Amino acid sequence: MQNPLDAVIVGLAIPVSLAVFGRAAWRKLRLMKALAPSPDPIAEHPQRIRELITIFLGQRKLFQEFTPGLMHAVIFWGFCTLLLRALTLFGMVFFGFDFHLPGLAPGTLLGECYGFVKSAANAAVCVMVLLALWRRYVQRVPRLKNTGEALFVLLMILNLMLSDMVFEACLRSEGSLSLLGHAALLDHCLGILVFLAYLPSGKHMHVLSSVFNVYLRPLRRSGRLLKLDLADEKIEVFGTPHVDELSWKDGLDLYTCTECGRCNEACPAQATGKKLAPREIITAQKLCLTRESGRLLDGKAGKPEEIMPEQVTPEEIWACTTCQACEQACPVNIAHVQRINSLRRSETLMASRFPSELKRVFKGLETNANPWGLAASGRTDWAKDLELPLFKDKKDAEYLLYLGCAASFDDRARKVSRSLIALLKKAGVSFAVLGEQERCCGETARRLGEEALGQSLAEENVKLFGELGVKKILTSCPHCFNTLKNEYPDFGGNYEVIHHTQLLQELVAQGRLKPAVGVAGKLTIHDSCYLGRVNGVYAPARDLLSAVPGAQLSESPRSHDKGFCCGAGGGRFWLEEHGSRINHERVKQLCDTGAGVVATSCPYCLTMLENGAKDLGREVQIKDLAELL
Amino acid sequence: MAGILVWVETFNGELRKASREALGAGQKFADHQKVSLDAVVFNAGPAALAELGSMGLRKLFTVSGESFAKYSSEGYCAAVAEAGLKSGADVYLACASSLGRDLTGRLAAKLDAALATDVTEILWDKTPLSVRRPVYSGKLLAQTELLASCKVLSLRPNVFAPAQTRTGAVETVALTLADVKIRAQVQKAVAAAQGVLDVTEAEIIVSGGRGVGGPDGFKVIEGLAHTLNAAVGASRAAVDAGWIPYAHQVGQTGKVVSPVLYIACGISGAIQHFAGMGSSKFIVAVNIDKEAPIMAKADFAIVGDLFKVVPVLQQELAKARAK
Repeated sequence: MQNPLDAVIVGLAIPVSLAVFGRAAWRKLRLMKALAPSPDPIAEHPQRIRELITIFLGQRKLFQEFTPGLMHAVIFWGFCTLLLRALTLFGMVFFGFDFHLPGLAPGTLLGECYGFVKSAANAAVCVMVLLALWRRYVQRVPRLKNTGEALFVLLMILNLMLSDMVFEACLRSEGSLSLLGHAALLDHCLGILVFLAYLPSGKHMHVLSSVFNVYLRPLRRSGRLLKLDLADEKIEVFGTPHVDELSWKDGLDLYTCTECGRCNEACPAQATGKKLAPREIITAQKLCLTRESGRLLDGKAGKPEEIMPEQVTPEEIWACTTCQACEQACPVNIAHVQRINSLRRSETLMASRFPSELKRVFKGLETNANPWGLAASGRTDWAKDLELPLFKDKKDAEYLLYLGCAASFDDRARKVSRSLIALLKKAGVSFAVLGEQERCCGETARRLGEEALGQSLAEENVKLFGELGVKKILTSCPHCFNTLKNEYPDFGGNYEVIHHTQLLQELVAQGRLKPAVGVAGKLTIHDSCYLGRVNGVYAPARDLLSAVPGAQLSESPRSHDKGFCCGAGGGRFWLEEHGSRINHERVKQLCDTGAGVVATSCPYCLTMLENGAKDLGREVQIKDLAELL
Repeated sequence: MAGILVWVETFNGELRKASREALGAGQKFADHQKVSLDAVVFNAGPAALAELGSMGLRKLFTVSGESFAKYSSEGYCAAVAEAGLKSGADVYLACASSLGRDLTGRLAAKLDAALATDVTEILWDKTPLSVRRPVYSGKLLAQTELLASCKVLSLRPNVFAPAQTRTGAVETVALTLADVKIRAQVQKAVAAAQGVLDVTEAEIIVSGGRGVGGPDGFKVIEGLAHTLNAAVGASRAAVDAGWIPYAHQVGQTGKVVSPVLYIACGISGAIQHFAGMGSSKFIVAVNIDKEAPIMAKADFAIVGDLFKVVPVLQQELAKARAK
């Protein structure tokens, strides 16, 4: 029979645990409410529900790494199963050992099934906790921080499993319970109550918050930066100089982070020994928010703590290539890149603190609408012999070929433009260019936090495109592609935007273009971050190469959504890089495939990889896909 | 026009070359307009005072004292305005040095004057007063008319001829200013590292890139630079490889230079480099690859191994210089 003492102890512990839990959880909720409103609407529930099923219940993003993914998923699914068991055990404390949940009585089919699943879950979770301990303390996986808290959580879980199993065994073998059985039951119930009380205050809050964090994520494409309202004169703070400007969703991100370090492992800056580590930015802001929580709950009275340059340093935020690998890796959909961009915005717009190399870039964009500051008249110098039609003279052209700054000014990228234009002519595509009317799309300025400059470029372009009646835009640069496609709608510009690899894929499929160049031997693909990870465009490059005579594709393990940045994104092309180079690392990875040719589709990647190959003395050719057809 | 007042900048008590040029412009201007020429000087040493005494000035206002020992926008502006009042001048000239640029803006605002900065030419005989000044980083020259009755000009250094020695006694007036409110003052001037000729100041630059092959390869570049009294530049590739310090880097993320002669050795001249040196007056390129972008942009392109070409170039130039 049950022991009345069990009921008394657990009966006393329940209100204490609930009170501690409630107090901490309520405080966290109030803190979220004290933060700024989220600019992203919470709509499109069908998509959110789908993501909840795949990412939260299905643990999809955790399985990007199989072993730890399986480990976490088994513990998670096991826990879900064992929640019912916990209710049963609490019931047993108060109502006797023959208590069971409705429908799950032993002896019934469902009850027996549940009993089996539950026992299996118990054992499986135990094994997985042991695996987790092994990974932390024997294998010492570098991305994991072995804090006392992490150990506490794992031992807590192990204890819950073992106590349940011991209790079950005692109950079955003895009929009436020995002291050991009672101790195990008490241990289990009290363990759950301690865990509950601890959850909202510790790093394991993700147990409670990840479901919300996954469901409420901004559905904005990760490549679409938030548009700052620069017209409202009442707004005096831009970016996030303090935690006050973070949205409640940013705050929820911070407390949902369980410091697993997958973002760090994916980050190209981390891989090359830079100070930037996405997780550490999250941790720094989380600590800052916790320190500031008293002030925030007091109606934001007093002086807020500055996040930059001490809590998060300039060295960190300027090292980001905005490649989105961290966000891709994050199992709970934390948005790192917008967060880093917001810090760049406050640095650039408010504190006027940015690397000195950027002065020239901003000035060039401001005066001549290209980052080099070269005269706009030089945009088509190289193409005089091609007699490119101008859009203003040929408004019935199907496509506006928006070349972008690199393809207009950089000699290497100009060669790609020539190849592309030759292919378009061969296939009879109707297109025209802007010529001297072309201006930078604003991507670089926005990525570098110079939102005012980026917006003015975007607005001028939208105005011009409107006057010209532009409907379809063909770009040769994934950065222009992303900005025109995903960000221009924020400025009132809605166009059908395609990247040249997409159009070429179509032309080859329609038989309007027959690949003629041919490649001998192995070839690999370097996925541009803004085409691939950000916009999910992976297929055209593969399809095109499969049509190239003689091409043997050898994929790098870092391809598709695991692609590794060339090091130039996020305005990094315009910044000095210190220490070991991202492009060197990438060239080594690509050469490891044994390929003699690397196919790219971005002028930045092209330059970075070519320079990397030259620096390392590797005999690998870097070609744009347009040059391989 | 009533009279001209020149602000004379000193450094450690001595006249700056750019100020001699401002005084020279003042002399020429005063001659043309047949008006008086006065000057105001701060913290002048004896040699400077003697030199200023032989320039045909009518009056020389001297300012010294603790408040003026170091430059301050407010103090210097108040003193120059005071000197202007005493002199009766309506045209103020200054050299467009860092301090001159700072001073003239404030002075013009204080006097409600017309301001032309970085002037490279004064159209002596035109009325109203007209000047030429470069705009858009020197891509264009703007001709500007100054319509206000009071006018302030800052003159670009190295453009105007320095002042001539003239006879005639100068009346020296020591200015004393009642309390000037100075809220910001220059505390310290720190000289940039010296020794090596800085690429941004050099008239000739010899640059090396990836083709130089290593730190030892730069000896060839340095040799030619030495012969030509030139600065040594480098492309980002050479700096990244650690062959030469960052201070030498020319290009988009390094220094922007516009020397009279730029000799690019073993540099492909991709846009990132070109953005930093494209405005050089003459570009000479030495490269084994005749397809390298720099070859199309250079005034003289030499196709060949820089280790063979550059020493011969150095030898011949040394001979030519010796003559």
